[in-house]
Amino acid sequence: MISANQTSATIADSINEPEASPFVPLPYKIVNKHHDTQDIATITIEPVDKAIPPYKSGQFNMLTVYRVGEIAISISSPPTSGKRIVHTIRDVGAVSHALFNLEIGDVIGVRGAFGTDWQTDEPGDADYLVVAGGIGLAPLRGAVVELAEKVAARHNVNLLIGAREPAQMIYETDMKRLEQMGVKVYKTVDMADSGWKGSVGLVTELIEKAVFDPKNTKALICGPEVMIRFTARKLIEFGIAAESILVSLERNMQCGVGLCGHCQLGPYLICRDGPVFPWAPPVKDLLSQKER
Amino acid sequence: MSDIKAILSKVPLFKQLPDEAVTLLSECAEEVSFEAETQILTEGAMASTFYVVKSGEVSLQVQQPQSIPLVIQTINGNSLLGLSWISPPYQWSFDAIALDKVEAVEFHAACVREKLQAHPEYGFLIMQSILGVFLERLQATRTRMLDIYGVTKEVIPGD
Repeated sequence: MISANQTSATIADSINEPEASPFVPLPYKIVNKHHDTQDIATITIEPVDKAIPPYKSGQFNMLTVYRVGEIAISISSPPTSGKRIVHTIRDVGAVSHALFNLEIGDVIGVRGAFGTDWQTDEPGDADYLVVAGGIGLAPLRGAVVELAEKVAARHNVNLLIGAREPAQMIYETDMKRLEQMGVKVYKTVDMADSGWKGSVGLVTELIEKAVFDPKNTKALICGPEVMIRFTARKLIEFGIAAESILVSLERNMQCGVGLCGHCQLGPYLICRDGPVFPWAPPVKDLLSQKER
Repeated sequence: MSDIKAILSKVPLFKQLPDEAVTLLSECAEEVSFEAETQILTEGAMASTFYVVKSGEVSLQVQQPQSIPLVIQTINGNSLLGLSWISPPYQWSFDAIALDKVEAVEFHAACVREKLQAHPEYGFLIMQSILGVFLERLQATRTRMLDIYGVTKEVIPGD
């Protein structure tokens, strides 16, 4: 509706700026890029013209490489980063390979933001355990930055990271900044090399090192689903309530808005009902069953 | 309650044990500490002791004559260090090196074995606790063998 005190210019703008359609990719330009590992790159994008609506940590975007295709990629920046959005891409297929090889100045299409979030916009008064496995740290990055800004001065914020090997650790420069902001960062690898001085073993073995009050701790977990299951079980053994655990899942997201059904998991469509779920039935049980 | 028994009572591994079982263990134990880089266990040596690490971190590793040691696992607070004392030939399979200053409780293996045999009612419960460590490490090893952080296939629309 156009109000009486709008000028002709704003009336024209409102006519020319219909609400963004979730089906139409908006052009975004790559303004920064760096390689985290041999097959993982992080890009920062900003809108060429119109921006997608505000997002929350844990949500994802659909990224289009023109003439190649579209894939779902988690948002890795905190909502406080304005119109600039960070995405981390692992080169594993046709679209991610094309994304991985784009350069600063290239333009991609962006639809989003979609899905549920880590609820770190209102973190409450609690300790936090954030557990990431491999590139599972990417969907958690924004949440950890939010927790560093909003919680770390008052409560324990622990970031536990597991990776296959030291060379597969991502966001190394972020870790130093997060530690300065009060986040306690613990890392472990499955296979050490000569330069690695840290822990070797499963990420669950880091829980013992973390400082937290199990009765007042929220946990966020993202990584391979086997790792999610083992970590959730271990956290419950340590006394954290199942309802205080959130996990992020990944499936074949294609439309992003719960229409196409490709990302179905039991009664859920991950793009619409997830990707972040509480660690509760039926999600908890579905993760240990073969999908039909 | 002796100091050592008080310490053991707080170790999660022994928390479920009855007081009498903790007393038996404490009669074979003493507090020790190791400076960083100390070799605590040596591959092939007699497994005459074992430890509960209270603080610090220990690297379990295998030496390679022409290369760097391969680190199998690191062990930190409240974990059991050393399992080969339980069954013959009582020899360590790996080296254990302190990565930083380590505070631990050292158990004399022969003493513990004697107590377990003499008091089977507690021996079973103690072994059940230690079996939990075996199970956890076996499961962790199996999980690491799955290479769960390996590359997964990108989902292509239409697949």
